[in-house]
Amino acid sequence: MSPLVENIIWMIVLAGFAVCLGTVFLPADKSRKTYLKLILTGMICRYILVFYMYKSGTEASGTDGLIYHQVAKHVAEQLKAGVPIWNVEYKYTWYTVLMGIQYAIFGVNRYAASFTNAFIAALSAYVLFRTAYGLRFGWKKSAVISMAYFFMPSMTVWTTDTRKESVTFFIIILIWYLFLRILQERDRRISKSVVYMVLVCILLWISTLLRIYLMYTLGGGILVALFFYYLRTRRKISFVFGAMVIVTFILVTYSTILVQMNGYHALPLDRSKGGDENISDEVDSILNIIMSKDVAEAINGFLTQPHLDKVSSISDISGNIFAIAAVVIEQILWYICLTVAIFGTINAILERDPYMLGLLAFIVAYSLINALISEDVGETYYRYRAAIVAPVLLIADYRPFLNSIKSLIKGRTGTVA
Amino acid sequence: MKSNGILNYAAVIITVVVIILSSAFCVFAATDDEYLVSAYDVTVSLNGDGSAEVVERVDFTFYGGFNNIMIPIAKSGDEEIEIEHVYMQRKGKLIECRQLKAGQWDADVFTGTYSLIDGSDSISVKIYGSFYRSACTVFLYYRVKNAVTRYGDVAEYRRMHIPRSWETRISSINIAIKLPEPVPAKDVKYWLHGVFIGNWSFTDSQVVRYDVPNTVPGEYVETRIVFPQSLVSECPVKSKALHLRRIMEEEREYQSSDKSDLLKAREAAARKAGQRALYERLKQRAGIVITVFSVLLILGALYFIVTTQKKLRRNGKMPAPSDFRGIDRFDPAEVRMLVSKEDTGARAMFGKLMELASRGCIGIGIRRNPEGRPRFVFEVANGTGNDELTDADRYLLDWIRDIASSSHEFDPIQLFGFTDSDEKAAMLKAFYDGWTGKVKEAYYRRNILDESITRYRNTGIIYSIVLLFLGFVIPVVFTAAAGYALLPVGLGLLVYSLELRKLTVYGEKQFVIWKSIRQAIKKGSVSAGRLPEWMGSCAALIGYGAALGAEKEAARWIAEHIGEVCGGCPLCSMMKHENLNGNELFRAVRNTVGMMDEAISTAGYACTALHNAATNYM
Repeated sequence: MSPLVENIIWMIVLAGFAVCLGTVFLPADKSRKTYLKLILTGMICRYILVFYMYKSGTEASGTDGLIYHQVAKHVAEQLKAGVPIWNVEYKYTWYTVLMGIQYAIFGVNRYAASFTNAFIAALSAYVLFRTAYGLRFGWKKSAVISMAYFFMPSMTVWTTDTRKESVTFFIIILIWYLFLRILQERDRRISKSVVYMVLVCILLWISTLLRIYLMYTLGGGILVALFFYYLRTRRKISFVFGAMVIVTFILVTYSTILVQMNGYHALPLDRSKGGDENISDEVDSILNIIMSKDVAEAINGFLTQPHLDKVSSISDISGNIFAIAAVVIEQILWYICLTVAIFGTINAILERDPYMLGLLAFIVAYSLINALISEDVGETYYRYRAAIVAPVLLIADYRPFLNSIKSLIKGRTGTVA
Repeated sequence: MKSNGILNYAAVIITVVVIILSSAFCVFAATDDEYLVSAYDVTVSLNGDGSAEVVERVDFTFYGGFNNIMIPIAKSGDEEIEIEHVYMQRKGKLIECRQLKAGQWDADVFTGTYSLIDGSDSISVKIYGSFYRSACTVFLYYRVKNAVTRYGDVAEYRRMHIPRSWETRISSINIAIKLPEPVPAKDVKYWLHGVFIGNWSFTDSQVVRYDVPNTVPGEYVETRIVFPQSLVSECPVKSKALHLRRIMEEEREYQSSDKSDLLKAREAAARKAGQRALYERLKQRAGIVITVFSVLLILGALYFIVTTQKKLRRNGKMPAPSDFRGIDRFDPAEVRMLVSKEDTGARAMFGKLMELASRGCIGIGIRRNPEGRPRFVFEVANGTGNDELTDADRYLLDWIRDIASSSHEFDPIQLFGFTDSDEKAAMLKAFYDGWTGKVKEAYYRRNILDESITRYRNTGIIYSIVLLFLGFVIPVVFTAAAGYALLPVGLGLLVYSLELRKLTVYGEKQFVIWKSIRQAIKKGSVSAGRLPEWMGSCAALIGYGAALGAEKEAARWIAEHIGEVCGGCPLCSMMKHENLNGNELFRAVRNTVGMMDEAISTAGYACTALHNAATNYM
């Protein structure tokens, strides 16, 4: 079978599967057809982008994506040689194992891996829709939120290349969706929610394999939400699930994080000739980096870079007017979203909404860690920030805030007879 | 319609604010020069075969964060570059970097590694590391094959040491090029291209030195030396023709050219330096203004708190009565509101039910779950009571009668049936809100609260919202750390404002009375003789005790004095029948209140989402 035919089959099958899943997963509404057409359009845009990205060949295009592709090929060789999945040697991120599995089953095809990422991005849109819908946003508004996420230019790029971003964002959105289901479960019997709780704990572990600190930020947000949930509802499921999350923290820290940290690619370890530093030495380096940072500037950078006047100097898009314009527009829309999210944040505090406060805790923790540890480069912030775009979209709403203020001010009369 | 207009207006304001703030990012954007080269020393040793051994020492100063440094090495004609060693400074010592091959997937791209990027006219050495607001020195050792071009009459060394493509400021450039052998000065000619200012000299009969104070983006440093071709006897002859005259002619042309490109580069650099200085000045001033503004806002919040506290203290302290027999009658729900700042909740409801039971309107019983945990149940068919019932009483009785339906028994566990779905939760919330609404109406009619504080409360709420909003915006937009202080102050002010209430003189008096009753119950110093007749029965006492948060002590007291006080109220009869002691009575109260609390809270939480849905009309 020629590579082009194979790619066409991949594209058609994945797009068709995405549409079928959409008809099952999305609640019925007269706008559902339009929504699915938009999903299809988004996937086609991603497919076109794949061909553009690999115009110089799949073995020469990209940076991280290229490295992961090469690692995945090695993983596929191991799997074909009979090495069990839990024993395969891989580098950088567990995403390379997922890619390697795909290569082992279907053959090495970087296009197919990218098409799969596009499919996962569509799934993320569906789950984000269901989350917004579960938060009672209404069908159309939920659709707008998920489409804003799906069609964001940077999202389109990050979730199309053979990078881990597509899977990482999907895991994050899925965790928050399952957690919402747990909070909204009406049956007092804990057994009903156990499946979701176990699934969330497993996903927390997987998130660590993709990005080492992700478990703490997600789990921390969940614990904050459970605390406020207990204050609001006095339901004991808060303790049960909270204990499960803490146990997951402990188990995963010792079984996965500490084991992985020594070889973690993102740490500034010394790999020169004769370099022999260990984790405890590098913790000093990390602390030095944190202490030397201007916190306000770092947080500003993480939330707002690349600034509008710096967009044209991003190396990947330098000289590409279309790409520069797209990023500038996206940045302006992001600033609007951030501003509106302030109102949503204040409303969450006023209402002591457990879910929203948990989401906020996750956003704050994730932002702080990346602002303080990541290299102070606009492009890096831009990519790492993408993980909080979906949660911020859920918070960005000013109407509940205005209604809360109105009812607070009208609420107490203290009338005198 | 009106609220739609307000919301749309708010949307327009927000959009305008964001566009204005976005332009602020351009004004307050960081400078382009996020790193510079503070010193650049090159030593070149020319060999007899025409190759050159080059050692470069590059001192970097980083103002931002980088994970790699790129050093371009120019390449022209037949030149071949071989990198021999790369060293970088790390933690005060030099480490030798390891080369990563292209496509080497198993390489660890960590500090101390480098890769080569081959271009058409240069090779870039990309050195990986973590550089954040620090200085770092890099040493490059490389060999340039065919660095010298040999002609019939002279040999020429011409090399672009700092290419134009290296767009950064470089200071203290020192280049020393050592010829293969000593030679008389008259036989050596040397030139410098790409900069206006620089010194060059021939020393020790063998070394040509170039010193350039600095270059700016757009300039370059190219050295050209012509020397006797016999010094590179092993170098192949490129052309036997004589080239010295051509070279001299080229140099004359270069010297006489206007070098407008270099002039423009200098002008652009000066302009950028001016902009950078302006930016720094503006940033500094903005920082000061923002900090002062934030401090003033915080002081404003403190002033608000002090002012409201003064206003709250005007009534003075009320004395506590010793005898409660003549006090005004409050029902348990009203008592709960009085002592808990207008909160009702499950305690208010339980207290009211027990009070109704004491009046004979409903009966009480005990149920136990399979684990033996007791809870109260209320029999709605027994007794109608002959007291006058308030609106709130009737509403509550009708409600629990509906829930009890054919069984004539209201069991709090039935409330959990209302949490199965959002619609049922909404029903429960509506019932509960309906009852609390009537309780509050009656409560507010009693002249408990001083309305004059409402204005302060609303001002405090709005001011705290403004503080919270600015607390998010100022640090992010203006990178002023002082802005973060607005967040805890705003939050604190919000909590303070929401809790703000002032009691009238009458309200203050009632508050003191009921606080004293609570104290008396907790200390066990309450006695039937001191309490009003409508509180005298055990059922009423436990109801008021729960409303006051003193149910444990009330239960203990009842168990100790059972039968003495009221001579057979429904609670006493039930306790004797069920053989309940004080501890079990307390557990029954706690479990009943807990169930009601959980059901009402869960319904309330579910209904918040439904309420939000109603406001999100898309």
